[in-house]
Amino acid sequence: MTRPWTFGQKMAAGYALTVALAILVGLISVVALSSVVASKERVISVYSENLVDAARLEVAASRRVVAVRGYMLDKTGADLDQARMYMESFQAVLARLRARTTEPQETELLNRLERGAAEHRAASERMLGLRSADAPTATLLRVFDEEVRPRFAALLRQIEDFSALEERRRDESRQTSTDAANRAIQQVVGAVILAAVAAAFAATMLTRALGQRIGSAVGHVQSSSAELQASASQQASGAKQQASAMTEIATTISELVATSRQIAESAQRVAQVAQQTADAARSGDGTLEKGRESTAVIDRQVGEVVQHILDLGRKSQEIGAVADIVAELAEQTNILAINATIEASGAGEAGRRFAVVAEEIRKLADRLASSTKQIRGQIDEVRAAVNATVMVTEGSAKAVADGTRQFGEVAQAFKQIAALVETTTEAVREIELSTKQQATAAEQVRIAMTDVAQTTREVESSSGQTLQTASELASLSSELRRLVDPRTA
Amino acid sequence: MTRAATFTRTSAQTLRDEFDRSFSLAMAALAPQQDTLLAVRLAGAPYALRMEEIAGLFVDRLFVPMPSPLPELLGLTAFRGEAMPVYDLGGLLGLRSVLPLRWLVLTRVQPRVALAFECFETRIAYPAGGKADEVALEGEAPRPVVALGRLIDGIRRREEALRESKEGLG
Repeated sequence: MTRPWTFGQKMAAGYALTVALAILVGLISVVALSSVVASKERVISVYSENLVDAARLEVAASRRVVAVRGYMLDKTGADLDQARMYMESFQAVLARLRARTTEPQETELLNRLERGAAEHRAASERMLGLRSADAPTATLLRVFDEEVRPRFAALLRQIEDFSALEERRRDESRQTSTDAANRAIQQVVGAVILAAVAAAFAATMLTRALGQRIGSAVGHVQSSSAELQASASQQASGAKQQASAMTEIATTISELVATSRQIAESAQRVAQVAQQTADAARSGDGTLEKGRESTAVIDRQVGEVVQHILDLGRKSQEIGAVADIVAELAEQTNILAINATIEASGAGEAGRRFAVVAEEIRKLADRLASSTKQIRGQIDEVRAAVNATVMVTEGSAKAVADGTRQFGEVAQAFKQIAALVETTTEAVREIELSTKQQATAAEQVRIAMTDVAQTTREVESSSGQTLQTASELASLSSELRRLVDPRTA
Repeated sequence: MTRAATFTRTSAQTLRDEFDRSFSLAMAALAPQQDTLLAVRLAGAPYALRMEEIAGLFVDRLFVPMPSPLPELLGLTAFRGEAMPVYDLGGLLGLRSVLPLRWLVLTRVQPRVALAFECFETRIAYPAGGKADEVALEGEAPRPVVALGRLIDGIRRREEALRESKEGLG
C-alpha cells in the first residue's frame, strides 16, 4: 500500500512539475530562439557580412581603379602603392568571403569574381605597365576601353551578382528565420499554454488536496487553539486564584511572622519569670526545710500527747474494770442479801434480826450498786471523753501525720517544682531561641512567598498573554480556514 | 475541784453517813414490814415474783441439758447437793425468750424446781398483807405477778399425765 504523499511532497511535486514545465518551455524557447538566432546569425553574420564584403570588394575595386587612374594620370608611385594596397584589400575581402561561403552557387560566383578580378587586375597591370613604359595615351585608352573598363564592368557585374545572390540568400534566410521565429513563438506559446494548463491542473489538484489537508489541519489547529484558549483561560484563572491565594498566604505568613515575634518576646518574658520563679523556689526550699523540721517536732509532740491520752484511755478502761468488779460485788452482795432475806424469812422470828442485817446489807448493796452505777456513768463519761479525745487526738495526730506527710510531699513537690522550673526555664530558653529561629524562618518564608507571589503574578500575566496568543491563533486559524475554504467564512 | 471529784466525795460521805446511821436506829425500825417482790424480765416483758414463793436467787448457774417431752424443761442443776430440774419460766407462761436465761430462782414449794429467766431487775417493796396480781415500779406501767405455785401444780399435772400415758402404752 503506497503511503500518501505529504504536503511537502505534493508541494514539491507541484513545484517540480511547474519547474519542469518551465524548463520545457525554456528549452523549447531556447531551441527556438537558438534556431532563430542561428538563422538570424546566419542572416547577419554571413549574408550581411557577405554583402558588406561584397560592397567592400566593389569599393576596393573602385579605389584600385581610381588609384590606377591616378597613376595613369600622374604616374606616381603612391597611386601604384594604393592600387596594390587596394588589390590586397580586395583579395583579403575575397578570402574572407570564400571562407564564409559554403554554398556552391556562392562559390561559383566567387570563382567568377576572382577570375574577373584577376582579369581586371591583369588588364590593369598591363595598362599600368604600358603607362610605366610611357605608352601612348591612345594605347592606354584603347587598353582601358577594350580591356580594363569592360573587365571592370564585368567585375562590378560579378560583384553585383554576388551581392544580389547574397541579398537573395539574406532575404531567404531572413524569411526562414522569421518563419522559424514564428514557429518558435508558436511552440513557445503552445508550450506555455500546455504548461499553464498543466500548472493550472496541478495547482487545482494540489489546491484541492492541500485545501483538504490544510483545512483538516486548520480544523485541528482551530480545535487545538480553542482547547489551548480554554486551557490558557483556565491557566490564567488558576494563576489568578493562585496569585490571590499566594497573596493571602503571604499576608498570613506576615501575620505569622508578627505572631512569632510576639511569641518570642513572650517566651523571653516567660524565661525571665521562670528564672525568677527558680530563684524563688530555691529560696523557698530552705523555708520548707525549716517548716518540715517544725512539723516533725509537732508530730513528735502530738504523738506523745496521743500516747498519754492512750495511756489515759487504758487507765480509764482499768478503772472501768474496777467499777465492773465493784458492780459485780454489789450485785452479788444484793443477791446474797436477797437470799439472806429469803432464808431469814424462812427462819421465823429468830431470823428477823438476821433479816434486818440482810436488809441493811441489801440497802448497802443497793447504795453500792447505785454509786457503782454513777461511777460507771462517770467512768463511761470519762472513757467517752477519753475516747473522743483519743479520737480527736488520733485525728489530730493523723492530721499532723498527714500534714507532715503532705508537707513532705509539698517539699518534695516543691523540689520537683523547682527542678521543673529549672527544666522549664531551660525549655523556655530553648523555646525562645526556637521562636526566634522560627521568626527568622517565617521571615524567610515570607520573603520566599513574596517571590512566589511575584512569580505567580508573572505566570498570571504570562497566562494572559498565552490566552491572548491562543485567541490570536484561533482567529488566525479561522482566517486561514477562510483562506482555504471561503465557504467557511 | 472537778465535778467527778465532788460527786465521788459526796457519794462516799453519803454511804458512810447512811451506814453509820443504820446502826443508830432501833431494830424494830429496821425490820421489814412489807412484802417483797422481785422485778424480772421474761422474754423481754416485765413481770414480778413473790419472794415468799422463792427459796433462792442465783445467777449464771450451770445446768445440764436433758431431753424431755416437756419443751420447757431445760435440764438438771444442783444446789447444795440436791439435784433439781430447771424450767424455762417464760416458756411455762407461753413466752418465747430471746436472751440467754442467766437467772434462776428456786421455788419454795415442793417439789422444788429451778425456774430460769432472762433478767433480774430489782426488789419491789409492797405493803404487807396485800396479794396484788400486779405491781408497778415508779414511772413504769404495772407488771403482772407470777403465781409460781400454780405453775408448779401445772408442771406436776403434766408430768403425771405423761407418766400415765407412758404406762398405758407400755
